Amino acid sequence: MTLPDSDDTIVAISTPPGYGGIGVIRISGKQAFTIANTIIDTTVNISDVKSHTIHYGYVRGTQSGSITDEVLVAAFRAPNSYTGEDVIEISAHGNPQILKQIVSLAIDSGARQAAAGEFTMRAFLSGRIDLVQAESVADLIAAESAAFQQVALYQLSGRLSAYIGSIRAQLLEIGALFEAYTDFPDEEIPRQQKGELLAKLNDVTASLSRLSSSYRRGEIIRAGVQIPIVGPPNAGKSSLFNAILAEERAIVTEIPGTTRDTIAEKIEIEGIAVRFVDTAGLREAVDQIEVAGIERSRREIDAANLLIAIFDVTDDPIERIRSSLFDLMGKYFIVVLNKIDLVSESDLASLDYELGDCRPVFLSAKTLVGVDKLVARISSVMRESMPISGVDTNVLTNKRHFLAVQNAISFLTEARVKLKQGESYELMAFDLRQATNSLEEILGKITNDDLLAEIFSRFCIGK
Amino acid sequence: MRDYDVIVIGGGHAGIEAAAASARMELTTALISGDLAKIGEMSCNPAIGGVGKGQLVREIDALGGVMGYITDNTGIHFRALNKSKGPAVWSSRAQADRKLYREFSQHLLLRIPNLSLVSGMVREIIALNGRFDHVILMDGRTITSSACVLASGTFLNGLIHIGEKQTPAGRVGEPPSLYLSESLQKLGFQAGRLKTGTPPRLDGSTIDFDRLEKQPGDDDFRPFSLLTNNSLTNRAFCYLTYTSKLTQEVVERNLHRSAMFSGNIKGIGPRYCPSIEDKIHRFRDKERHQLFLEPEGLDTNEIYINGLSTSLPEDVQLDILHSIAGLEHVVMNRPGYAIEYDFFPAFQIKPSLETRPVEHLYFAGQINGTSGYEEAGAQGLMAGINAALKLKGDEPFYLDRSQAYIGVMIDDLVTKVPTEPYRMFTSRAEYRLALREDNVADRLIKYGKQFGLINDNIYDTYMAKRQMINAEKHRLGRTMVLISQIDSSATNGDKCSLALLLKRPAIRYCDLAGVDEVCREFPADCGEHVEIEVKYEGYLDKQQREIDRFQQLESKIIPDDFDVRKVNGLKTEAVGVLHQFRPVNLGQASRLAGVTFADITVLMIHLKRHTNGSVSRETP
Repeated sequence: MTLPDSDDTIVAISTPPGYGGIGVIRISGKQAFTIANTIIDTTVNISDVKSHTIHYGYVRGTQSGSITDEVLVAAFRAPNSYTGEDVIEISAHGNPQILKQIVSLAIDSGARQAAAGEFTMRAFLSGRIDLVQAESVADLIAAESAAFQQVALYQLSGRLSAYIGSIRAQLLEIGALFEAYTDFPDEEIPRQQKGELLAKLNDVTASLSRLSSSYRRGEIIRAGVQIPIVGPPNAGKSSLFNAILAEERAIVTEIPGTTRDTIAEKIEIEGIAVRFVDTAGLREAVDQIEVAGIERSRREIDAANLLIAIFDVTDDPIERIRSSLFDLMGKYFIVVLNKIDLVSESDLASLDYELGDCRPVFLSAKTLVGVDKLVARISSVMRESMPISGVDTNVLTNKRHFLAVQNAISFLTEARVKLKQGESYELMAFDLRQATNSLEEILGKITNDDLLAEIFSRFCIGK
Repeated sequence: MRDYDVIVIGGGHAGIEAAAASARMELTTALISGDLAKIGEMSCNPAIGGVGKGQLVREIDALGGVMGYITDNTGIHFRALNKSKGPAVWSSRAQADRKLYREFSQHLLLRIPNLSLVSGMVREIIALNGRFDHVILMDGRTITSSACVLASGTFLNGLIHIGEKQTPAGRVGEPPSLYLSESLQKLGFQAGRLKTGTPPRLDGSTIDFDRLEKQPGDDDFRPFSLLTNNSLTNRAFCYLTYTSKLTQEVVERNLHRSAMFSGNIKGIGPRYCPSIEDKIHRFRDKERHQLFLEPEGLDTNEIYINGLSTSLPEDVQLDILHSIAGLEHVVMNRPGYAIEYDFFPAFQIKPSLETRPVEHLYFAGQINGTSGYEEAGAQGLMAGINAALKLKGDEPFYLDRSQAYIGVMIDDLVTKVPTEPYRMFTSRAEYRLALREDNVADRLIKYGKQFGLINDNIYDTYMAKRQMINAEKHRLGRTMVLISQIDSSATNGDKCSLALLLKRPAIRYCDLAGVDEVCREFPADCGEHVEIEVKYEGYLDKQQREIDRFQQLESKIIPDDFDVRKVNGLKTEAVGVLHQFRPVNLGQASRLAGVTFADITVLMIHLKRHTNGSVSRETP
């Protein structure tokens, strides 16, 4: 993979594909202003306008005298723009045909179609943002929940980078001491200073460990919580799925085994994206399609953060729950007893007594009675058992960052062990350097063009 | 017809190596020195090596230089420093007999065919069309040559300070070179000013040695040079003493009289070898400072007091000496002094040490802002080799940071703005674990052989030894023994390989002799080599991965004709720095202050386009 040229002028549609109220075309590079001036008729000369001004005008048509659209042109001069270069943003009417025509006019005037993420890559190359910030731009665009959006914004602000930078500075300081004692001939680190060093190393390792363990939270924030609805055939999984999503999403019939595939839908609970999955009932499959569906259900269960195990109150629930509990071991799960509209209050009371240790939620997916209690229970389980709070602190949401932090921790652990065992300083100095390098990789201080090309290729075109 | 192929100006440690290398590479060479009897003078302390410096001496030797061989033959006290630490930072150091060192150096040079020693002071360097042409001496003589290595040490506009007294000099008692610096500035070079210092010399017969801690040399010292077959004998002792409370009072009372503190010295001094007034002023809390008394030679009583460099007036120096244990009645043979001199910041040279403004002119040693014999010697050797290679029409010889301390030093010189004289430390080398004294030959001997500086005999001996070590490593890996034989805490009947045992920190190669016949017979120095390679294996593998990554940027050559000012997208600061330092590859560019990784990425993109179609050259 190679990086695209960085000294030509690029153009792309920056709004999503399809029809819309407006559509925005972004042009960035040395020629941005001249190109805008060539393709747009305005009362002013765009090449001369001040930064951060907006101008009204017409995009010229392909034939002389014709026009393509009526537009607003926003001008940003380097370095005070998104890319750090001269940037023109043309707001046109949101018709894909019009937008495409404007892009091809810009290309005819010397611009090049931008590659995915190329605007953001230029912001990185111009030194306006570091790698963590660049990656957060992609996250911000993709964020499906309020929490992930907050974290992405936090990272974009540079605060996570600054935090990692401060840990790096501490590592450099500790490393410098090991280096110094390596170069003082025949001198040993005094006992007291050794204690202080060990304490410092512990502190830094603890900071990094906190950061590393935040990744579990980060993953939930980024990917959301997976909640498959599982249970015996015809226990009412699809009905419950529909009841929760409050819409007729799945086909509901009386015939067991109707749901052959998993169906998923997202809603937001506690600011986190929660993905409910309607699964095929886990029973001996009758036909091939159902076998595949059950296989997929098993995978959903394995990846679940929380399971809803649903049972039919009229179908010997106690025995079925007992036999399913083994499958659910080691997972967070909520037991739901469905179809309460079909049994008497006294039957429910005795079931509640028998199953008290499972804290079942009684509901009717058909009449919707009790569905709100289930949602409340889901929220409380998420609050209690998943680290979802504190999005304004330093949370890792990116696997690349997580792996680098892990790497740094393992080198620091090595250094600590060696210091305690009284091993030679040059080995600790080596470990400290490796740990520092790992953190520098996160910020993009040490990297290579392949990595950059890979990171920016994950972006959409126009960003 | 030119008088010589190569002229070397200066007979210090850089000049000796440059002249010897160029002549032994079969080019007619002249070494010009103001006083031929002073060739090989140790201007400061009578010692070679030290932490980071011992590595340099052995590297010089493996490349076919002479410093290690001279030291082996003139040393009177040999010690390995940092033995309590790991083998990567074990550093050799020797006290030499000052007079013997000088004489041996001169005899050695006289025996080299193609080499002439010329007495004279160079007044001017003449270049024609940006190419070195000839030198003019003070007496008006003109000497022509195809290339020139300038290794003028502290002689360029040298100014000695002792208290309020200032004397123009290159070294104490020798005249400075007053016109050469101006001659270079006329050629377009930019000069700077540095300072260094030296301590007083003492009359040893007036020192009370009995009260001082004696420091003997090592019995099992491994000679510096591959040429030395015999084991070396320690023929003198060093002694330890300390400054006292009284010393502190004397210094503080007279601080205003020090040339350093009165503002008389404009040059920047080294942080690492500070004057005693600097040490006492900066580290007030420290009750005492360590001092080493080093013998100057076998047939002299003169003692060098290491750690007491000063530019205070003579009377104060004497008071300071008398405040030190064992020196209460000492007679001072010669006072210490500070010396200021011109240097030329090394952004003006290429990594081959050839200057940018003048082709075929090379700079080596203190002129490039370094301090120390070993640093100078290494540059002299590289300059001599490169001057010769260029005249033969060959590619320049570079060593990178992963190959040698020499590579680290030259890379530091050409990528950094000097703020003080540059001294080598092991911490400057990021691949330190791979740059050890024990493996210099593995790293460098092939180049020495290639240039004809290492003879076949030495090379074959090395190869035989290397094969022996490899075979022994292999054997250790497959020879199984009962662990309980060597480790009494192991009670069960588990077996493990000798290699695995040797990986344990507490077990040395010689310990294996107790359980293994072959180890008992194996030469001790090779055994140590085996041990280091086995013990360090895991680290070296990790380090190798780092080195591979480092090589990626190092191998991206920036061609001479590549103009950074034409690259769009670079920050203005980066363009300025890149234009000034002219890095030869992207790795070097990335080490310049003011160049960010984003700038490197931009450069990478442009270089790809620039070299598209043409074959990219690998660094050696």
